[in-house]
Amino acid sequence: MTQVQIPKNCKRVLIVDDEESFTRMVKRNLERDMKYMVRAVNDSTEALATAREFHPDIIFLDIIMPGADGGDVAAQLRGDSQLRKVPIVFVSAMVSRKESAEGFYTSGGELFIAKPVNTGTLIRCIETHTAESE
Amino acid sequence: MKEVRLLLLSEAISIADKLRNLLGSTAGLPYTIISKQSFDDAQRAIDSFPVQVVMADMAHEDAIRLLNHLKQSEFNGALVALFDNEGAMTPTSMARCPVQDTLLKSRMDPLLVRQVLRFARQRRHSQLLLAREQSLFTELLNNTPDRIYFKDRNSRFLRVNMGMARAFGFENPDDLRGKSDFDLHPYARAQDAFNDEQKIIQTGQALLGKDETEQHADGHMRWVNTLKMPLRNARREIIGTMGISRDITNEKLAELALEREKKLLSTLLEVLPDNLYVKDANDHYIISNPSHWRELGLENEDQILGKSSADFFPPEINRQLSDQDKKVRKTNEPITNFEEFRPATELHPARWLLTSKVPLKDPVSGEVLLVGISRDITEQKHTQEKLENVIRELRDTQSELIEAEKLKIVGRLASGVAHEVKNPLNIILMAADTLCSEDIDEDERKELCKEIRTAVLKANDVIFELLDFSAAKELKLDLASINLVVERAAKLIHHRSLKAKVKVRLELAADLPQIPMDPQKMEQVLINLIFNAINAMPNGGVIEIRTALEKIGLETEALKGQLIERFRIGDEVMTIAVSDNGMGIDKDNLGKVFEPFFTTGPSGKSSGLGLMVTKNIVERHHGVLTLRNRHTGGVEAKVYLHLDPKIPPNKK
Repeated sequence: MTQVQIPKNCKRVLIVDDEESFTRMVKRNLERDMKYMVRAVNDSTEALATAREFHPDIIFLDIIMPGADGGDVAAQLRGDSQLRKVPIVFVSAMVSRKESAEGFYTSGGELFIAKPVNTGTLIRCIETHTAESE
Repeated sequence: MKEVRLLLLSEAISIADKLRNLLGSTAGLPYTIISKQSFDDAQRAIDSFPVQVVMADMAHEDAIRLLNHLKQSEFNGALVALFDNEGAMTPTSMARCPVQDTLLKSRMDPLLVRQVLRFARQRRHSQLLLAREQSLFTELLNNTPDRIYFKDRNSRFLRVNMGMARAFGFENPDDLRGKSDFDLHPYARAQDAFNDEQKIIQTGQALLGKDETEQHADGHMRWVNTLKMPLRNARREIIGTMGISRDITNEKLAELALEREKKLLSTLLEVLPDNLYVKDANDHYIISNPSHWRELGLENEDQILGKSSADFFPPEINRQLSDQDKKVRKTNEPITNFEEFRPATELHPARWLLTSKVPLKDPVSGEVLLVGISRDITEQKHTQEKLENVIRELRDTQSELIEAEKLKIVGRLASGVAHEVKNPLNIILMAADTLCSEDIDEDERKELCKEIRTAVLKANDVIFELLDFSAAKELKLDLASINLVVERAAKLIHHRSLKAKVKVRLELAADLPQIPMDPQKMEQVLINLIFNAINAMPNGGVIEIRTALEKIGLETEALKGQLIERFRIGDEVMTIAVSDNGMGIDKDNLGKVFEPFFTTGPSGKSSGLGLMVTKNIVERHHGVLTLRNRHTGGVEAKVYLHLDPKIPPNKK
């Protein structure tokens, strides 16, 4: 894979998922258009430290992970003053057909995106929620 | 009228003629006179035909010899001595004469001769009778095993028989003459006999059948039964005692043994808490122990003996009882331990009895008796029922729990499947996104295709494991050797273990029986367990696999839950233990390891289904899989399998 030069003003995306092939694929697809800078974390226990250092604009969190699961990681991130306001999108395989059709949605005040997710939906999700937060 | 032969030994022929004349001229028995001149002729005649009287002329030189000879022989005729005249009957000649009947030649008138002959014949007859009686008596004395003794008024032996002598170690009965019981017995015993005898002498009363002990020459203590009576002379005066003692030791021992048996039996019957009774062929009670008659509300055994069950039970129950009795008598087969219900009566609440009935042939009468024994098991029955209720409730609760657990597992399975399958799907989807864009170079395309392929295979694996796990797949049961299965699994895993720097050590018990199993599935079990063990030791280590026969005991390490459900204490089982020396399992995780999609393995490497699949296979063999942390570190996974060739039928 060729190293791509990423512009400075692009949005920073953190993805936490134990599935390495998935994070690799997300990183590859988002960074293709040079609009996003993606950092992948496969060990959920390293999520907080990486987020502090990376300053993401949005965080995608897998829910079912060994070690600390998505819920644990979210609690850690929200407990951090710098990261408190960064939108967190839970990536879940456990969704209904309807939710899945919507691509990303809100449930119980939390943001969700359904697996499998395509690149377009991912980008729409990022754009929607980063625009709101600013 | 029978003729009488008279043989005359005399050298004077005239005497024979004279006798013929005399006897012929008088009425009476007809006599035939045979005259012989010598001893030998006379002897020959006597030997060749019956002779009733022998008369010897004392003037003949062999007269005394002949008479003596005949007197001591078997000859049973009368003997008469013939003297010349009174002058010849000197004291000397009379003393030499062996016979008492005599005639004088000088005084022979017909009546006198006939009278003398008649006396002589009567005398001889009496003598022979007496001799026979004496001989019988002597025989009896000497041959009876009974001890017979005659004692004087001082209780000294006058005469004893052979049996008596021998019992006390004497060869000759005469050796005891003059001795007394004090020479043969301990003082007390002798004094006792002496007192008895003195009393007999004083009162003239016989002592009948007294049992006494005797210390015999052979050192053994014997029992005798003694009969003693006064000994009288011809004038009926008591001159001592006589007694007969019979050895009754064997009878006495048998009697004592019998007594002991009886005592034992009666004690047993007394203390036996069970009801026991014996009925005769007519169904009348002949034995009833206290538990039995008390139970019938009676005060003693006499109130039941001779009566039948109809006297104590209502018709309904009585019919039931006598049907059982008839069956036992008819088949001559006991019925044992059957439970019977007795409805409530005035005496008892409703209850359960455990009863046995046994036919017994009476050795005396030959009739078939019926021995019955029963025990009140109402309380046990109640306890048992209670226990059964508790167990049933537990089982209901358990199945509810199992149902809930199943739903939980289905839910978990669904989420697991979603997670495990959707990840690869996501990769495929995103790869497709990229592949659809126009600016994509060849390298990237290849790489994405590779990602897609990997993702598809991963999803496929998950589906396969689920299929394996599903019970739809039947076991292919075969008699197989677990050792062979272990060896094959170890071989298959060899490459992988080498790579992981793990040594696999086998300790396989010799002579294990073949048991029914699906060898391929069991191989999968072994492979999964070995995989787990390898994964537990990322820095390498040692895996030990042991096979053995074990008995399920109270001390069995993991005797809880499943193990108790599937095995009983004392069951012999085959075990396969796979242990590693890795880091063990967290206490918190120990309960979760069998849940689907639970894994501590590296992400993406392990689906979390392995142990669940393994457990499922073992359980379909009706075995049990346990996991525990070893005291020495690491984990031991242990499979328990039934030896029983019949796999018990599936519960569901």
